[in-house]
Amino acid sequence: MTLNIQLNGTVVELTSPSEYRLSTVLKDQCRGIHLGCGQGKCGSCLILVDGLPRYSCQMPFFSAKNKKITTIEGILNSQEFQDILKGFKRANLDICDFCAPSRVLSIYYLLSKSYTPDQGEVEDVLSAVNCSCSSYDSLQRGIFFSIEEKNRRLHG
Amino acid sequence: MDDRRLKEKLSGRVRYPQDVSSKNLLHVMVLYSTEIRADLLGFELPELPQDVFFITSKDIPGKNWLDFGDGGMPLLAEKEISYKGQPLALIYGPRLDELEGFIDKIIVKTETLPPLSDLDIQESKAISYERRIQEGNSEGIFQKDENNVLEDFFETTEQWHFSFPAPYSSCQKEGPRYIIHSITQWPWMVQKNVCSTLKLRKDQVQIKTYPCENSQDSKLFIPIQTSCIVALACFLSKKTTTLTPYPTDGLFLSRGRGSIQYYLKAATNTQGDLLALKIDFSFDSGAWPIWEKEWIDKICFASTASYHCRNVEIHGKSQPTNNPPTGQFPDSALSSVFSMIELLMNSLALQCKGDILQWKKKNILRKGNGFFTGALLTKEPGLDKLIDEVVERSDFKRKHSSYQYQSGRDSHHSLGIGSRGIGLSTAYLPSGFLTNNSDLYGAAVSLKLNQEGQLSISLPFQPGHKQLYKYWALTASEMLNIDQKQIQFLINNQPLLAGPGTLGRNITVINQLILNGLQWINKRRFRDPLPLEVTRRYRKKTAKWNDSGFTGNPFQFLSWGAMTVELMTDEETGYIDIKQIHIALDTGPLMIPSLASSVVERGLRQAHNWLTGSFQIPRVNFPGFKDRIPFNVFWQRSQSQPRSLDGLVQILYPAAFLQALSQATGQSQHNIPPLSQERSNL
Repeated sequence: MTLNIQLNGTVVELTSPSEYRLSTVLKDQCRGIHLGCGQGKCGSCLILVDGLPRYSCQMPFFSAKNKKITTIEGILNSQEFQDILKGFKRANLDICDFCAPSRVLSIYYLLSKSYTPDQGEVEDVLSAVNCSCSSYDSLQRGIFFSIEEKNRRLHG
Repeated sequence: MDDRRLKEKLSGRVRYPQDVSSKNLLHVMVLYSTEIRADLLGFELPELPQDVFFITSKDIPGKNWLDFGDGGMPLLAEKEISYKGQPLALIYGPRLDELEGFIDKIIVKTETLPPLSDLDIQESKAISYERRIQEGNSEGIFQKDENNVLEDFFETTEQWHFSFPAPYSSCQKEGPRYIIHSITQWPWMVQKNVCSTLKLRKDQVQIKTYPCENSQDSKLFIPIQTSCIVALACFLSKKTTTLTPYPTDGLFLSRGRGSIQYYLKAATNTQGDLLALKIDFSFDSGAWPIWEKEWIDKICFASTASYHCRNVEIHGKSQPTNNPPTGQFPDSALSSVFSMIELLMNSLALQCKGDILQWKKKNILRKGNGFFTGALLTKEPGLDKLIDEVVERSDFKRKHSSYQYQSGRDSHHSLGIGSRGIGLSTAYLPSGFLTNNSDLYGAAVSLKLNQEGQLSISLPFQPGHKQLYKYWALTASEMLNIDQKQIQFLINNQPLLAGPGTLGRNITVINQLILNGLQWINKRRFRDPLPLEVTRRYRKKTAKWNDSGFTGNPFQFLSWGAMTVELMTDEETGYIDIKQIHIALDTGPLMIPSLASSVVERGLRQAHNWLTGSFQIPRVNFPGFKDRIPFNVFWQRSQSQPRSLDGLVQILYPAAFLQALSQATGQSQHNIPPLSQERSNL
């Protein structure tokens, strides 16, 4: 099966068996996707599909048809990525290399919203990636600092 | 962390074995057994294309045996299948989708055998290791009429944890050498096994390690297996191979902790002093016993938990079953034995009709009284202070009195209302190993200061967290007054530097070895000519431990802790709500404070998974990952050197949780996880 997918802003043609996991297909294109549990539990294959976070290991390849897919590689030049970078640095947050791309992508999703997210939404985002490399408190601090950086950039 | 490194990390540029690529990359898939126990007769293969290969144990050029230092297992099954999930054969080829199609069509011809039954085990046909210890006269104390005697049965089931990143491996052939890409903490053991499997020399096999992240001990066993698998396929194909992740392969789980069954008996005098303890346990070591002596001996050593008791009778045995081989954990089996002893002690204290808190304080380990092995505690462990901290911070005193009041009202549980419970536990965590096997207990660090002022530190393992490198570099920089950029760390592949000082608990041991080495260099750096080189080893032959007599003190460091767990059960929904957890830990100075809190949180989460993960009552909903477990930690820093932390919380939590659950439900708990019949009133 061949599909045209809008991957990180560029239309690419991907060929794979239709039932194949999207995570495995995208892995060849985007090295930031890590293959973990394959059961939608660990969150290391998290991507944004039409702007919403999804576990790509739980999506068959055919379901990517006509979708706009964003991976960590697609947000590296965004302002929000810089906000997260600064926020994590301020929080002295040292998450592991394995979950980092998915964690950043999930926080990017939060930051790309037009309003300031509340505590519940922050906790939702934290739960999207099931890695225990850092404590919840330190992660939360990193997120709130990232939000502050974004607000400072937008509103001075 | 510098900006460049942080950006590299957050943008997902850090590579893992999965990212090794090549034009001729071959994917390797493992055919696992679906039978529990059977004779393996052969395989019936579908028609395979020329570029897809199927290999069995017969194709292994060297030994079909993975050696883990003490025990091991075959890489691929030969004649007999001994557990469900055992690797039987490999299939490799260029297209993953093709392989998935083929592997489903392979027919494994077997003759099913009955699994090892309880009867086999009871007839002692299958005891692989046994330890009997008798200190004092426990039987005489049990027989005295005036003493309070309590006996009970307990059981803890097997334990699995998530472990990320999953230890997948890849292998490249570069000239005569094989480069193994492995997420391992124990590279020289990987090298040793690959060499043995492929009949290669050590210089033909190079191990490239990747970040291990959490110091989960599955990084000891599974990478050896996965590395040998990809190396075998690479050896036969002469092409780059990678082990393809597959959801059902279970590699993202740690090796299971075996189940343990206990019979416990304890006695106190009329004043409530703990006089005697009898413990009889059998440990399920799985199909291939690995480090079972270590497991059994550690349980034996910890069989009085954090209580002082000189009259003990212990009988521990390890029995092979048809379950997957048991893994190793930072706390070994201590979480199991501590939990069960705490539950028994709790019941004993209630039977004495005294105050649980006072009873515990009366019988805990103190300076001078020590362990039943004869090892004296020369310093005050400070359990009193730790207990006071958690009790004062929690609702323990008020809850305890209300519990007594509540327990007198028999009709309470028929009223259909939720109830609260609070549990208190104490524990210690030893560093290091008991075993005398040099592959396991030894740990050594080499430091070399050369003429250019560069310092190299050779470690026997890869630490779980990169921040440890930073910590040691900072320490060395301060002690020797050299630039941090002039310090490099090497992972030594030589068995001269044995492991696994790899484990989280042994970080403290390695830390001390590094400090000793730095002090040695610091003394001589302006006196002796450079280069200066020093090797520091842990556990010399003079260690005060008699393995055969089970006497003395095997552990250099002990860390201590206390915990209270407050919870509430909702009878309507079956929901167990953890209200608050208070933890007091004495682990000496914290090496990396920011990391310490995540270690505590991870420990709680892992222990909570154990208590709830295989829970079989659908109507009881435990808090999941999304629900944060609220906890406070009080760090007591009475000791001068850093002590082990990873694993201590896993020991403390189950005991306190089960006590709290017992109070809340009015039913004494005897199992991890709690059994359905005991929870029927919820």
